[in-house]
Amino acid sequence: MDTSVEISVEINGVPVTRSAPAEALLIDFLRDDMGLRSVKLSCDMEICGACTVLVDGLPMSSCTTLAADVDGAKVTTVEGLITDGVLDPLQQAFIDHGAVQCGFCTPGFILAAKALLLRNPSPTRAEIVSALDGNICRCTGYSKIVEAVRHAASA
Amino acid sequence: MRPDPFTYHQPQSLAEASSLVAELGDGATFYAGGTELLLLIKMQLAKYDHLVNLKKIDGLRKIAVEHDRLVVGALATHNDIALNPTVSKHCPSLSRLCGEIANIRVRVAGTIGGNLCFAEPRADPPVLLAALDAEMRLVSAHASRVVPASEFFLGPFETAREPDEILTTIEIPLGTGTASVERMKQGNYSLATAAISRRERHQTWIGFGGGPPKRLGGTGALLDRDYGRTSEEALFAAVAEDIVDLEIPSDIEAGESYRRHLIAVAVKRALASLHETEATGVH
Repeated sequence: MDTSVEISVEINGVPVTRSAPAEALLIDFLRDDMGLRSVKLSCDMEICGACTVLVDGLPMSSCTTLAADVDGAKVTTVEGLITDGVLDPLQQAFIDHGAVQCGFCTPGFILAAKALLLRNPSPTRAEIVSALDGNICRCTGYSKIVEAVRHAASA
Repeated sequence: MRPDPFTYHQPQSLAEASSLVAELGDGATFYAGGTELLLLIKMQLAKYDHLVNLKKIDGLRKIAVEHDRLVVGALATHNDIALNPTVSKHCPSLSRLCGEIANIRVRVAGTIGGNLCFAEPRADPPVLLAALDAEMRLVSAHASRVVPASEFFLGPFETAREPDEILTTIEIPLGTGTASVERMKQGNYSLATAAISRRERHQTWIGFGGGPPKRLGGTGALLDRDYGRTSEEALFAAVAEDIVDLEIPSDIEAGESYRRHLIAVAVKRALASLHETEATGVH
């Protein structure tokens, strides 16, 4: 029984067409097939946010999304925020504000924040906290993360 | 955790989707946002040889007012509903609730129809939709019927939907009344949920994690009599009486007596929220 599906997707601006098993998860497709190792597997149940990617600008848990379901979509990982070697203002703000410790949760936080800023370029602090409340940082760096997003939004 | 292999079907029409599931039998199921179903499949708690994706069928994500009803397409995501101006105008309690479900990623992927058909006993939308007199439209290849929310949920993970029936819309009658919903959350799920609607009569519904939403008849009658001047003691007594025979779960999350208390607190907060909505006019 051939259960594979054809997936045509734009990943970080690059069109890609691949065949994958129907049950392939987006996280494995991105990490193993595309080599995008910023996408982290952690809780594996849509709670921690480490595997967050943007699908057509909206944040999704790639651990619990079928690769088949991004057919026709645009997927962005944190690698895709870099333009001509220059970091996105959000990425730079995370560095400038020390909003990174071990760094494992950072790609997910940056993409969740990016999704917020795409929809709402000038969020209040409460809106930032609300948008990030589905991402978990075990180094407890939330204050600096929120500050980084505030700074990037006002920059 | 990885899913076992399955065949992925992507029908373009309701009739095609329904026929597929009817033909394929127990090994097949409908698939929408996947936020709950994929987790079960990954954890090997459910096994399907065929997933029938509903997301390629046109028109199932529409939200509109039609003939004095707010009609929400079953494939609308929680995020679609939370941000939709028609919903916030006509049914602000549903807007707010959908904007608070789980986290943004679950709201972006998860659909209202999937949430309702999955019938997770700790889910909040069934409780509010029961209080709002919502109706569920179920369509198969050969027939269509409407089931009131109050009769749709039969038990944990069990609904009135037949295997080949597709929930297509949730229809909420528009009235002049207001409604509110409050939940007592622990972690990602509610230990108790309460929704109160105020149309011709008051309806108080609760979710308690052990079965379908339950209507509290005595509490509703108390509010019909004493709305606006109900004492906390009277309210708590009415709720306790209404749920005295209800089988309340007792587990590692919370014991039975604590849950009984939380149900009353949820009702109290839903009532306060209703008062506030009416006093400020801000829905």
